[in-house]
Amino acid sequence: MTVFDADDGAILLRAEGESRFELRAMHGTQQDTDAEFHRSIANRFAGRLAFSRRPLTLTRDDASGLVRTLLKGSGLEALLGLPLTLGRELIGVLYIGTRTPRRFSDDDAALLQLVGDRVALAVDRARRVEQEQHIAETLQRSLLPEQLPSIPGMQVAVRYLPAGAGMEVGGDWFDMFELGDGSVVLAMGDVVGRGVRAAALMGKLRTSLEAYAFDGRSPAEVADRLHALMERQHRADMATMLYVAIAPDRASAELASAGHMPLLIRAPDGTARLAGREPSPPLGALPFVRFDASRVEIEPRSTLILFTDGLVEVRGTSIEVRLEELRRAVELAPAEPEALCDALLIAMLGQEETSDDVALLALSVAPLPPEGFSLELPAEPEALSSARKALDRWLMEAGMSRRDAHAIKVASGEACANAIEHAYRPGDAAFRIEASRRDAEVLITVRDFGGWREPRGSDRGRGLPLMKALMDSVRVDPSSEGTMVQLRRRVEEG
Amino acid sequence: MSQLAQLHLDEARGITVATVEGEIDLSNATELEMAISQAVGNEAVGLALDLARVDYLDSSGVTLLFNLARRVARRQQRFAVVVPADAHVAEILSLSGATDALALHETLDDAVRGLST
Repeated sequence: MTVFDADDGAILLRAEGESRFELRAMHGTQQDTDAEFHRSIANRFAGRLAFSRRPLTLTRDDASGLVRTLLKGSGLEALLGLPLTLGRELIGVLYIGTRTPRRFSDDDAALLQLVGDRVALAVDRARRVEQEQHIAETLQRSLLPEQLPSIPGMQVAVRYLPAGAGMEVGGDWFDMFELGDGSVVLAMGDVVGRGVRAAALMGKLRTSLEAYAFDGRSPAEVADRLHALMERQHRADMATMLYVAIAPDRASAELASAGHMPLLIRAPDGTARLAGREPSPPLGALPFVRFDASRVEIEPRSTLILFTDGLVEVRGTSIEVRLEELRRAVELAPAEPEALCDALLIAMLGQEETSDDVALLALSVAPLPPEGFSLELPAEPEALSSARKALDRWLMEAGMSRRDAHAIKVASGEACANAIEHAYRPGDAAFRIEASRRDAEVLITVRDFGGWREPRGSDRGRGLPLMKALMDSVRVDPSSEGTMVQLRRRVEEG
Repeated sequence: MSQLAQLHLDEARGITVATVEGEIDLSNATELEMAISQAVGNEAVGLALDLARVDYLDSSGVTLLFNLARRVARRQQRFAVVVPADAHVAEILSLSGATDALALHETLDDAVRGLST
């Protein structure tokens, strides 16, 4: 201002695609010159500046009507303004004013133009930061699972809310998968930090966790290894994690917590309790940490709830108080996971935008109904093991003999393998397996939505004879919509 | 290798011993077949495949056995499979006609002895 010997100045910008100008900076000897005045002046000025694309001057003597009134009201005599442009886009206006009559010179205009160019560059940089936030958000989304597995007897709902406007994304993540032995892993974590860096580390932790888990590591060993990974590669970073491995019989779970929020367990009678309240330190927080695991019993029809601190943390309120509020909200909420998640978000966050990311996952665990179950799976060879595990569990719960169970599993597996091989479109095709029992007879129905192909080559021809040898009856019904295979076997009464 | 099955390789009396643990189905049979056949060196007398700890094997597993038998025979090597008679896998092999076509043994020792004599 002193360079120009001016009394007043302002920068007004407008958001991309919007027409309204927002006052971003003002300066003047008369501090009470209000924003409304600047906005009015800017809007008067903007049209002309946008058209001229070069500096313009305005004096009270030349002005007329509203502008004259505005200048008079503010005590300003003369204005020098210029458009702020990025390429062809008008992003704002910048102007200075004096309280004494003055004719701004071309030199003044040239000097102000230099200032304007720098402002425009700064705005450009700020917009790039916004873009980076957008990238971080997209990255984070792409690093979270697109779909959680569909496991009979389990219903899962998940909510992920990025932080409110103007906040960078955080590193909240979650995952769920079924291991080879039929146990189901739920994991949730929060990388300390924000932006692209946090999102990238989150992706790395999630992938590594899955790899260690599939390698047969226990929950505590998974935590140990992730900690070691952070120590090796990300010494400056820190992350919390809760790892819950539900046993194949669904009657218990083993948890390891690295500084994460506790696990909430809602019993079938509606009472809720917190588990895993004494976590080990966060991953990467301290050297030479060993992670402990604890075991919790799960009653059938319980719901497990995992969440990140964004759900409970409120400045000025103790975390204990908020956890108790959450626990009570769980007791009041419906048991169904989707409805439960919605109810918890409303109870804990209301309508307000959150300043931190929030991840919330609810999983209900129910026994498979003894009369039967139905499961839709992607038409991929990897789905065979999911179908087998569900079937195995159901057959065991129904008290079937090992011999019967094995025969039914292999025959069903052959029918499923056929469905997968016949899938007309790789990628989005699916097949469905239904199991039911009436008295001493088990009926398995496998449907695909592709065309039945006669087995080709001597090798693939082995499936059908094997099904026939293992079951009492095998029926194949090909149709234009797909193929249905029905397998029946009389089982020992158990 | 997929997490369904694990493969351990060893050698005894000039015989390659491949032990599979876990489950064999359409999702891993082909890669398992490749891994096992690559493990059999040219100088090996034969291959003993131990399936005693396989809990699940379907027709793609049966195919794997026939393919391995064919590959090994083409190289003038011998092939033996270990499956305890009371294992579920034994029933699948018998229903698929593999019992007569393949040399089945109750224990790994039997298989190695059979191959090296």
